[in-house]
Amino acid sequence: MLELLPFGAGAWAVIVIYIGSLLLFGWYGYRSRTENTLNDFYLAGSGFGTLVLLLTLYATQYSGNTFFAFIGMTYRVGFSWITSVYFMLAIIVFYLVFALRLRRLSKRYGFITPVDYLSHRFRSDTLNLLAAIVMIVSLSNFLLAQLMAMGRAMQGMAGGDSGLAYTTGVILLALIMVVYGTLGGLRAVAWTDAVQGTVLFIGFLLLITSLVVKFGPLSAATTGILDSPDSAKVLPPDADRMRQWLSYILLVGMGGALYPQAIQRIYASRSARALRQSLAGMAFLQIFASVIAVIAGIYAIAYIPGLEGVHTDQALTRIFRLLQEDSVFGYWLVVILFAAIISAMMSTADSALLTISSMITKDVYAGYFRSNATQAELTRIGKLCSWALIVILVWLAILLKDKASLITLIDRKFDLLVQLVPAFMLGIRWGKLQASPVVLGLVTGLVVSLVLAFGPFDFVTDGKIWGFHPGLYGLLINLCIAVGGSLLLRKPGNQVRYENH
Amino acid sequence: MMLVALGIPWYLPPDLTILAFGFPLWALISLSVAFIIALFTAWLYLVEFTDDDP
Repeated sequence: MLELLPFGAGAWAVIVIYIGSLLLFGWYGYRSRTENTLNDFYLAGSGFGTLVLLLTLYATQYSGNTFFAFIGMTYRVGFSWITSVYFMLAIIVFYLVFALRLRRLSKRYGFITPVDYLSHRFRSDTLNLLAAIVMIVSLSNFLLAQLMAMGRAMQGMAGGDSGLAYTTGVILLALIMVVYGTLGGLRAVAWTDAVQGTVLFIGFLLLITSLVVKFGPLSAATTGILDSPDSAKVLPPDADRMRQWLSYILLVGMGGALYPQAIQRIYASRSARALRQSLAGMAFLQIFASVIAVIAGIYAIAYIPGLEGVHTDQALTRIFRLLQEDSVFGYWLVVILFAAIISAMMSTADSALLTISSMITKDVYAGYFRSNATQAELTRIGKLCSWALIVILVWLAILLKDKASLITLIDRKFDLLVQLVPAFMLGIRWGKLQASPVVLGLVTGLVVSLVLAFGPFDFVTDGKIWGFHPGLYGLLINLCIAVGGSLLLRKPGNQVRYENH
Repeated sequence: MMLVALGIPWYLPPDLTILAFGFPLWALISLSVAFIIALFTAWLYLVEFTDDDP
């Protein structure tokens, strides 16, 4: 983000007022609490209606990295990154398998965390612990990446390679986030998400409008690319890219549906109708946001040629720079777009933080150390946990400032999360699925995915095997073990059949 | 799955360069199919998948 013109005092004032206003939501969320319980703190009393649920799901799904990564990826591969439209949409399609039934069960049995469902369904401490670890590790990594991205955003706004701006940005934004998150819990986080989701939506609209105004119609950009050495970026994808397309649909579709913070939003819906309407709306919002990111990437190929390697992820900031230099209007447009990006980062990070805190409190602390703890005690522990976690992650974000490659681990979060597909998606639909095979399948799937992803294998190209992500190979084996094992264990007198009604 | 199979342009010639509304034709077909999938999914949520309502 170092290509931006430094923001002036006026722009900083707008950003500070906007971000500072988020604290009011924390305070209002605190004032609006009805009881000192985990349900009230982590699920906002399960009272989200359609609009808040829609916007909080939207803001949670789209992180700040979405802007940079999707546009950067389009810059590298061209129109083929329409793949992103499909995998973001696939998340909503996979919710069809389990979201509505899970919501009903959560109301009946009072689930707070995703592991509560597993505990109810399989009654296996081993599975609970494993699932909690997979989710906490995936989310912590994700949260760390968001904090680092926030630091870079502040660095970009300050102009130059200022380490102080990075450190100050990480600390201040994390502080604001943890204050409103611990004050108002999910209620405050979702309200800020609703604001941030709206800003994000407006940001996408402004981005596409400003691109058309600045550079002309998309057809001119596409024609220009066709006449350039990058013409292959307009052609249909090759066979390998098409296999990757399918792989992304399956991996991100299933993994994204199992985001723990999204599962908690399913629990937090006021009614099945609100959830159904929100997910129906999300199907279109996913397309809207992804298509705009692809179009922005196409404009970048046409009008900012020559970026290579990691610099392709800076395509968006190059566009911003051009808009800034264009006019005063363009300058302020970039201020608003940057507010949208910071919104996206914060809304993703605050949700991840709250969910990790809930899992450590409910699944680990209450599950293994203090099973008789009161709701008030657990809520207090949850808040302490958020503060402790954010201190550690901020420290890591500052420490790893120049070692961003470590964050490539984030690419593996979906490879890990999809290993929970049998437990959640199959378990809720197939009553005969049993705990032991699910645990064995999960462990095997995780080992296979990680070994394939990080092992020194010649047949792994660009982190994929024949175009498919390692996590999907792990999941295939995982599913075979879970299903095969459950069928084998199904002997007369040894039947454990789960009724999910 | 049939719609996804239709959305991934495996059945189109690899050198197709026809443009429509600024998009390559294959991309426009793919986006149209994605929109149909979104419509179908929304319909399922709003009309069909009501058996899990309390």
